[in-house]
Amino acid sequence: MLCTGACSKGDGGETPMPEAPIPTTRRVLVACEGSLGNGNAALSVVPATTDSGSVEDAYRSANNQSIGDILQSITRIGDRLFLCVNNSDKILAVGQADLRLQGVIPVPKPRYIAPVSATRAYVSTLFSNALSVIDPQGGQQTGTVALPYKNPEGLLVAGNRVYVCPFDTACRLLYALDAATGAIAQSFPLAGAAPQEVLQDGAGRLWVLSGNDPQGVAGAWTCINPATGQVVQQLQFAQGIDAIRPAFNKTADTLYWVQVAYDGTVANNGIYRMPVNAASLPATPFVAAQPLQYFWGVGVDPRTGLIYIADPKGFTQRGSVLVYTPQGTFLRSFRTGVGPGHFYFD
Amino acid sequence: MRPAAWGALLLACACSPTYAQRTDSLQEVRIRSGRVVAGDGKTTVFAPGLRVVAADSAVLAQYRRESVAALLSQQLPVFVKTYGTNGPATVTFRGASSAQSLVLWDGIPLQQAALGVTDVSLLPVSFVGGVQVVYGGSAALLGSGNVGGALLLQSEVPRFDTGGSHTVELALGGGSFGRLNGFAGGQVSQRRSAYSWRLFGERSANDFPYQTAAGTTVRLANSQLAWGGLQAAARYQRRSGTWGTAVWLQAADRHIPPALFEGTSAKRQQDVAWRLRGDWQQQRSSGTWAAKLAYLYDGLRYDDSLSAQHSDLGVHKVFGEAAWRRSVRGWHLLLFMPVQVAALQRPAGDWVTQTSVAAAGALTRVFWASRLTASASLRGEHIDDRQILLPGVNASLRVLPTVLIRGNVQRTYRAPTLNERYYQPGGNPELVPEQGWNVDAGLHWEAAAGPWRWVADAAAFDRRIQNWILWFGGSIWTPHNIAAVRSRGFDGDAALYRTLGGTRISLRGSASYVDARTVESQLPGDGSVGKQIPYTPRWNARTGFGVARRFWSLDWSLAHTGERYVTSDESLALLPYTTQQLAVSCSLPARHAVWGVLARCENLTDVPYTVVSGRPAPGRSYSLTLSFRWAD
Repeated sequence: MLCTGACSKGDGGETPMPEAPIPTTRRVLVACEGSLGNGNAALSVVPATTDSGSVEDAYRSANNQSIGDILQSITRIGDRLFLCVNNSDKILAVGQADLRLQGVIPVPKPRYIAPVSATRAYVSTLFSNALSVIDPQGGQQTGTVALPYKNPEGLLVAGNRVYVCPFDTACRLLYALDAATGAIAQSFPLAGAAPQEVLQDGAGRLWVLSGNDPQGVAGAWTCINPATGQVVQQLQFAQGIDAIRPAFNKTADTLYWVQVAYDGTVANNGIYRMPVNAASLPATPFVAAQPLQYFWGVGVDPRTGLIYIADPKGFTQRGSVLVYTPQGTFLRSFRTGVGPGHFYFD
Repeated sequence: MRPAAWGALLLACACSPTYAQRTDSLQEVRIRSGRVVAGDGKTTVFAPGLRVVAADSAVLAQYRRESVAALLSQQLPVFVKTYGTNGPATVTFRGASSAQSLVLWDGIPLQQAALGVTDVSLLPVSFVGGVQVVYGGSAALLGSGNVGGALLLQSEVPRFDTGGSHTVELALGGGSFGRLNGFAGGQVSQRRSAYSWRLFGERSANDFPYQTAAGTTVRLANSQLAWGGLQAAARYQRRSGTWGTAVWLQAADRHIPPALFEGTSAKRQQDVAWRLRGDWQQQRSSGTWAAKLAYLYDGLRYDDSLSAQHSDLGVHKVFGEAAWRRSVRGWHLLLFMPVQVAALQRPAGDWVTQTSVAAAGALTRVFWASRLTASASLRGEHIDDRQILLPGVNASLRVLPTVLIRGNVQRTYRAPTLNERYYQPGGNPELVPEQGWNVDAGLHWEAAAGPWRWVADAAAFDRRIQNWILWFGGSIWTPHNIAAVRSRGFDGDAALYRTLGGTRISLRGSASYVDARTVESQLPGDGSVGKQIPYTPRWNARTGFGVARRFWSLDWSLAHTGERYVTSDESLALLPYTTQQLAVSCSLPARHAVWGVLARCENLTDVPYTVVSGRPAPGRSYSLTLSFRWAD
């Protein structure tokens, strides 16, 4: 008998999230972090074209147990999905279609996964200066890769390189590792400190979002030509702007990101977007947050181009996802688990 | 009442030696088992309309080696939110938050000024002589934070003895999961001076077995506890008045075990508390004058080597109060002026402070041969740059010789804490106090017939609080005044006593129902409107049975805590749980001494449960305490 003594209860009269069968194709998976320290992370699943038949906690429905504390990211490797459960020190491997648990890989504070082969993947981790290396097929950690700075965060695999962002206020570099060995092959200077995430546009250029506004480090975009190492563009955010969670549109020529304000105001608070050839940062949001509202994630469906925006509602209750067209028209919303943050389009 | 009687009333325990009391607003001095307990007089004389429940001496004796958290959670229908083994524990009353539930030590607020809460798991029962719960709001008398109720901890005051006397008390105990504790105390009483001291220490491994989420049974790791403290007090009677001083020092080292959803934990928290108090009172023809001054320091150090997290928090607080009381022909007047200054040094090195100055008064009148007691109170308080006025009226009416009805209407508030306003990053200096109105009404029935005696007390309440403070955020957390909460419900208790030859039998029960919902919110699309606030069980119930004969006593109790929600939209709930406790004690008198043995069993039926999500609670456990008390 489990000692947890917790049960989930649905509500009545709200936007319904019936426990429908888990959609298996053309769906949007939402990584819901939960409220730190409560163990109530969830994996929400909705069909890509409608919210009917949504499942608020598909992992629990499939496995009759909770995910754990802070579901940070979802990564597909082969026919399985790997879920980084950050504060439970584990990566869950589940079936891509049915979400049934197939294995658990203990890894300290995992954040994101960058797979380079069926048997090798790099895992960024909090509070350390190392990447964990795992064998997804074997289901175990096989080593670590030391880094010069702490808190490796965003990862990107491009060609035979793995690009790593150490989210450290002392770091102003993007690192490129040899995918096969993990050795540091190259580093690129950035326009700002504390790199968070790295993306690749349609022209093969790298876009690095950096900054840690709560620690007083202003944000910046740095665009790098990886072949030459040349900085193609750099855009500085003003102090006080907290930019996080970037994503590309389906043609990888427009960046979307979240600007968060926790003080309840609307200034510099919402979803912002910028074409890759822009000369300056956008002054107005694509979708503005309302007073006392802030967003926690944005994703773009590569099939439809629809924009998905995560509203965590303070991490004290179930969140919502708002769906917009690229023209900025609101389409629909659906309820998720607590703290929606990342999207995976399946 | 003659002015001279006020002095005794100040030192009086407001309790009768039963579980539920408060039949009369003008209690006389009560001395239990040779112990004198400090009283403040405010709630006994100037709050006749409030429901007050006290733990009786038998219950206190049973929990003398435990914390106040254990006593409250097992014996009173209040919710003690325990954040797992070695985690802090906070108490809430009638749907109020922990910060809205005041804890007072002889009238001095113990709330840690930064966090605004009191960790009742770090309050040893052995350091208090009386524990009372005042339900409902009496903010005019007790101040900020008294929204849902107040927990009054009353010291055992060193008593004067014209013949001179000494007492010594020793206790040594142990129990399951590596528990070992010891206590020593004593008192020297003389005609015009008296001294007392207490020492306690406890360590425990707390490595109880529990089931993980995977279904395997493991022992709790990183769960060691060590804590101890010293308390000393002195009283002097001089022509200039009665002077008192008290010191309460304690430290705790707690290792925080992993939650069910964590793989491992290296968390550790160390707490230090210094509480120094001086007081004076004198009866004159013009009335009774009194003053108290206290300095409190709360230090907290938190370390987690696995995440390289470390924080140091030290909060200073100075509390002072001057008071004057006078009684003339059935009128009782109290004027008092409390002042409090709290200071916190932020990580950046700068200091932030909060200063509150209040002027308050209360007037009580007794009518109709003491059948009706009515009281009005008013408090004006200036907190930093804000002012608030708090009126209140309450009354009790004896409708029958055995039945008393009462009512209370009080404006109530809670000032934002230092953390809420100045925490870096995320503090919100624009926060305003949570405030609203509290209404409650109740009935008390107490009667005896032959060898039978019974007591029953019940109350219903309704309260609405505006500007409710909620924290939300992501990378950083910020508090906002974003909601209004309405709390309604009832609470009550009853006890039946029977004396059969030399055997005393008691049967008791208590219950509470609390409906506390968010009724307004400024958060867009807030799903919490109309829903119960988190960690506020609707139902709480306690029951117990006791038998005492000559040197032996046995007490069985059951505590039920209802379902409570983890989230503010009721989307996740924790199951109700029921635990049972059994205590058997024997007190053998010898010449000038009493030898005692107390055996306790907690969670008698080994029920698995969690109070807070993901933190397993221990199963069945045992403890045994040997004690010795000598008095001449």
